[in-house]
Amino acid sequence: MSGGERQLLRTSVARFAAEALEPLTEALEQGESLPPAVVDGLRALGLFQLGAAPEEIALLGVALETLADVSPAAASLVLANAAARALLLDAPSSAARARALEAPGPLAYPLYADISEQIADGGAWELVVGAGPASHLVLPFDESSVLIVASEATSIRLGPLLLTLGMRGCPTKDAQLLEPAASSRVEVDVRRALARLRAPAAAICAGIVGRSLRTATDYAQSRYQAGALIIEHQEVRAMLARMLADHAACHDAVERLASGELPAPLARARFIEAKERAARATLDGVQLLGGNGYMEAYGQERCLRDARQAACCFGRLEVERQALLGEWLEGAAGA
Amino acid sequence: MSVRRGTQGREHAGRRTPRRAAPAASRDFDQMYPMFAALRASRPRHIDVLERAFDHAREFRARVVEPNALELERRMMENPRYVAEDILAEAARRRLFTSLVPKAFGGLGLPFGAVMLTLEEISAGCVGIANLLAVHGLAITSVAATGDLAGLERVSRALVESERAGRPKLLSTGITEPGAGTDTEDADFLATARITCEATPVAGGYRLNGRKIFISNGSIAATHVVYMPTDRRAPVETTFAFLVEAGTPGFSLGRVERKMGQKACPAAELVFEDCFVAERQRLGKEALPGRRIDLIFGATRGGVGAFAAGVARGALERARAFADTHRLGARPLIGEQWVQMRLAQMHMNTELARMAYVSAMLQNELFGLLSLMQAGALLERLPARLLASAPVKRALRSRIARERVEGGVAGLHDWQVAATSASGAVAKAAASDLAVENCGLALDILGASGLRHDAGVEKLFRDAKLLQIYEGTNQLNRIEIFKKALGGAHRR
Repeated sequence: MSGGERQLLRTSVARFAAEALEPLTEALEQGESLPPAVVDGLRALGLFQLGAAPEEIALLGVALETLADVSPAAASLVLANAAARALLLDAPSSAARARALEAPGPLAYPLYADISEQIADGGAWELVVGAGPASHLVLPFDESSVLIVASEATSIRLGPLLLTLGMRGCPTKDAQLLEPAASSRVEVDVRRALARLRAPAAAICAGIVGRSLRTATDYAQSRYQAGALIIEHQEVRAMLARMLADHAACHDAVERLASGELPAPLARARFIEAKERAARATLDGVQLLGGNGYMEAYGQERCLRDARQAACCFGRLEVERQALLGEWLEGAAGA
Repeated sequence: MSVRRGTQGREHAGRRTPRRAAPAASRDFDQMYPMFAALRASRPRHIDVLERAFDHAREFRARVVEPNALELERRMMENPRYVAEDILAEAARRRLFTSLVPKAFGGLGLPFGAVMLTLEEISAGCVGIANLLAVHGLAITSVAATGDLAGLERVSRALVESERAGRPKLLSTGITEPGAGTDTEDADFLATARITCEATPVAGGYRLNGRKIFISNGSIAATHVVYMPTDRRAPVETTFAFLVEAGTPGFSLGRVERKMGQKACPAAELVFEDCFVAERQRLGKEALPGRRIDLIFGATRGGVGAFAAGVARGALERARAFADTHRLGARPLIGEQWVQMRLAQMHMNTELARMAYVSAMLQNELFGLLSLMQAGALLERLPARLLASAPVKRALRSRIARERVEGGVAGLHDWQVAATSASGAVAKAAASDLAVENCGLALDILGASGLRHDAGVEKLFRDAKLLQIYEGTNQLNRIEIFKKALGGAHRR
């Protein structure tokens, strides 16, 4: 992938985000869903087709970092689709798989589910991201299989649109399987497929922190406290410096993860780090603006909510930490 | 909205239904507050008052707060100007608005401790509702700090009578300005603050101009206690509290904010355009900045500490209930060692937050503003009928009475004022940091379920963040601690 390709994609996505998404921010926060025109726009940019090959992962990372700067909700819709596609591409051929992959997208996936030995709980999945506009749902059943279900199938019942901490506007619903036999269950290594998506997931964190840092810096350079610009206070400078380091770490994680060169434990460690830093940095971002940081009008509180939700992407941080050590010990024993 | 009445001590059954991790009943008074229970033998009446306040708050939380908090928040999301009249009426029926008001003026005159325990308990259910019910405490404290007993009687009586009628006339306090937030809460910073509000002296009173922002309950209060300098070039020397009634010509409401959390308590902009107030609406003879503001925030920041201890406990209760009833894969969540460690940390945080605010509370009861506000123990011992009599009322309005209260503030040693101010700052900053930490840990334990609004935990997280911001950011409070507890001189 050339630098020119990256730049072209970044420019296209940034323009789309500014023109189609930025004006919707308030409506999405008030409970509206991403409209079909936005989903069509994301499709037209080719974002629902990215996510399988290594070079596509890097492009997806660039796209999602840019998109998340304006709309982490739209970015998470794209990420859920990419996760579903990655799982389908790793699965053996079947008619259901082919139908889902041929659909124009997006595909829906429960982005915040823990990958454990038993994911489906009585045939129920929480927070299936993309349910609504998606043609198909790809639902992890356990560590080694997924179900493929058409959205309009009678074998599945989708709940109402959910209000969540962050990513507001991204269509998200619960799903309940009514007839297990009617769905297609295919074998796939769920952990391995999702591991490829760490770079774009970290990119969402980087995008959110980038916006929060920019907002905080602008504010600190224009507002006064105790007779001086806020940015002249040492404590504020320390907070901004921490946020800057957090942003650099998130951005670097995207690059390193997208390169595919990191051994498994290090890749997971980088992913954990990006999620932790995003959640921490955006707390500072709100604090730095004081009362204004808490008000929706400044957008900083949205960064905090979105980052905290992004920190749950692909499951609980603590489950990730436990898995990290397992991978590291396994690698050390193998060596 | 009609208030949904809950039942106390509901059991959470099933893994997925209901989704909400309903908290189990907390430990009882003796276990939560051993520092008070230990004094039962020596101060039985006082401890009994605290315990009854705690039980009273617990009943209100179970029957009114828990069943209605999420629905109220959704309504406020749709319309920040929505007024939760049913909840206000339920609180009025329980006399939650006048617990701080001195008995001499018709209030319950409860000790500060009883009010703080009430705040913790309600906040464990919903700190937005706790703030809705308690933020007028800042106004009452501000009025008390002026030493203007006639003013205190006026606002107290109005509150007591409206509470009795079931439609409480709330009070708000207007301090923050668009260009000066934190600066308005510290005398040193006030000197260089970008103050734009001014109460210009005119014949018979003052003309108020400017805007106050983020005023809790500003859109629903009947009376506003507004801090303004009579000369904005000298705010330290000339800032007074003014009483402004809603509907006064020249006064209007600006934007009602859409905020991240604590939505049950609306935050509004107050706009003053040549708003005339009479001379008697300026409270007190001396400016507020200095030891009066220190004493005000020494008391109210302790209250924020109590809010925070409640939020920390609410997060713990919900996380524990969830871990008890859910599995991670095939295993019970509560069986995971990491979950046990996080819950233990949350318990530690809750205990520490409580200790911080109880310490501030005791400091206030020793020599804080609230001990002075009760107008002396002598008054409290008088029968209610006598307190309502004309001679006693006249005595309360007299110069002698005012001088007694004025003398009370002036008579405190500097170290006493500093200690009260510092303990309030410690309670506020420490407990709010611990509350935010607990909410983050609860989200970690709940995973995807924690992100959903109907689980109630993401709301706690959003609510908690404001505790680190209002009543001075935690950064300002650390500066206060450095100056007041360590005797330091602040530098940028």
